[in-house]
Amino acid sequence: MIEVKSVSKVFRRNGVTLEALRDVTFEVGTGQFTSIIGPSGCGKTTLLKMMAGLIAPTSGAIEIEGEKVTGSGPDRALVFQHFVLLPWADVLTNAAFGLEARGVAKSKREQIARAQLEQVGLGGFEAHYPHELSGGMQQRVGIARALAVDPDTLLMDEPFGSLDAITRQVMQRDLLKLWQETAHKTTVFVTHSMDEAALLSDYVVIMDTRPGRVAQIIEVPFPRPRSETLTESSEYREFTARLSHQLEKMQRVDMERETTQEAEGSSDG
Amino acid sequence: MTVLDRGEAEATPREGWRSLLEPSRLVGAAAVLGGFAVWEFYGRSLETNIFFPTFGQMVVSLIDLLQTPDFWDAYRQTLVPFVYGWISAMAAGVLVGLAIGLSQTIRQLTAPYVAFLNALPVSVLVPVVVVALGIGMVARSTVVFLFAFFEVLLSTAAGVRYIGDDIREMARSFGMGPLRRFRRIVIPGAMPAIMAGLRIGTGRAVVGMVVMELLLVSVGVGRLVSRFRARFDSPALYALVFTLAVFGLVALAVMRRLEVRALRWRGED
Repeated sequence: MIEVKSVSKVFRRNGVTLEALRDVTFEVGTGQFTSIIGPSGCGKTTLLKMMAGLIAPTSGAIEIEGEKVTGSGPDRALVFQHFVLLPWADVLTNAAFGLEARGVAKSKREQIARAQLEQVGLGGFEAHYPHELSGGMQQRVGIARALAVDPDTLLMDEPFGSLDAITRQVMQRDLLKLWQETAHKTTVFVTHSMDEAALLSDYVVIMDTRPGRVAQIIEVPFPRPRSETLTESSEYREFTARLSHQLEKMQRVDMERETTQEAEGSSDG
Repeated sequence: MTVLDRGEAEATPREGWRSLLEPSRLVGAAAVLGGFAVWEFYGRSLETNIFFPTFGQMVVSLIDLLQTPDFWDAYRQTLVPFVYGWISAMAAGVLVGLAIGLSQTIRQLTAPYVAFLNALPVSVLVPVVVVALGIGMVARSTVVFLFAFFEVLLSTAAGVRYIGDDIREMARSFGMGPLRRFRRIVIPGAMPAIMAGLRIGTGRAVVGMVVMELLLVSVGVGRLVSRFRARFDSPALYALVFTLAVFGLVALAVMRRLEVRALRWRGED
């Protein structure tokens, strides 16, 4: 279980302070798929990087299985929005990178990486270089790299955010299948997309901005295993419509706040 | 249509010596031959060739020159300090560049010196070197070193600094230790800039070699230059300059080949 316990984060840069997160508290159950969704600037990526141990909270703590996160660890693996593959290394070396980081011997790590590449549908592409692959295929390498280290927790930061709509849909469905077919890994998935969150998650944490905070936690009512035809059901469409509506409302309130603030700011000056 | 087709077919890469017949190469070769022709005709139009030889006279003189032991001795004496200065500049430039790129402390400590020496024309340092070290092997190697060193250093340091933060973060998230990170991220990530620095630095080292020969009391190629100049033996003087140009071209071609080899992952671009 991942416990986020009243986490706050304040960034200070060039004398300007920015409150990114205020008193964020929620839990992610072991073996659950939880999405964090919210408008840009709500601190969802910051929160994910805190779980990864790359950023320290200003106050509060994140505990995984009762242990406080103080740095990166072999129990977690990240999937990045912009893939972040090594351009000078072939697909196999990239997929094996996490294992290499941990000092696994070459033959062993390549054997594991090959199996993972096969699982994400990239068998036969081992000798290609990232720039020879499409965005979707590059992210498959990113997912294989994360799964290769066999983490207890999978942290995904808008993994399909930079892909085109069709690729995105294919990737969502493949991830759903992969996640359900393999041992359910505890997964935290940051996204902008309601459809994505509703299809993949058990819980959706909706966050609001300025400062970033939890607005609402919603249980996704669809039973598992889900099939990709779920997206065609009226229940699914109603559910995503409700989520969208909520997010849109938040975004509008935020925009209005910004315009009032700007108006106030200009009257001050 | 057929002409166009053939043109396109010829533009495709070929193997080995046949690549010499590519249109772009043929145009380059034609430009060189044209230059030689202009040289020849201009030389013939002069009343005397004491100050400016014809191309033919230069070639004849070059063939004579290549058969004299003096010529080879001169090059040997010039090349030994060149090689010392060049190799040490490459090695020291990469090492110091890596240190500056990696450590903010070292960067801040060295910044004023690097800025000062980079703003200074290196030729100005030649008298300083002579006063400090005389005109022996050490002094002459030092001149070559100074010409090449900063180019390699600056390029390497910039290459290390411009490795994406996302790649560093990714390596950190997988728990890669600093030593492995250096070997697997820093070195390959900075390699394009390092190779460019080595290539440009080699060109600068050749310049340094010539400057050293002309400004210091010369023993090698510089002494031959003075001798031919004193004799108004302009064909021999031009032939000697020609050999220096060929030497520079060969040095750069070797470096370019090394660069392509080291960066093969980038593919054919």
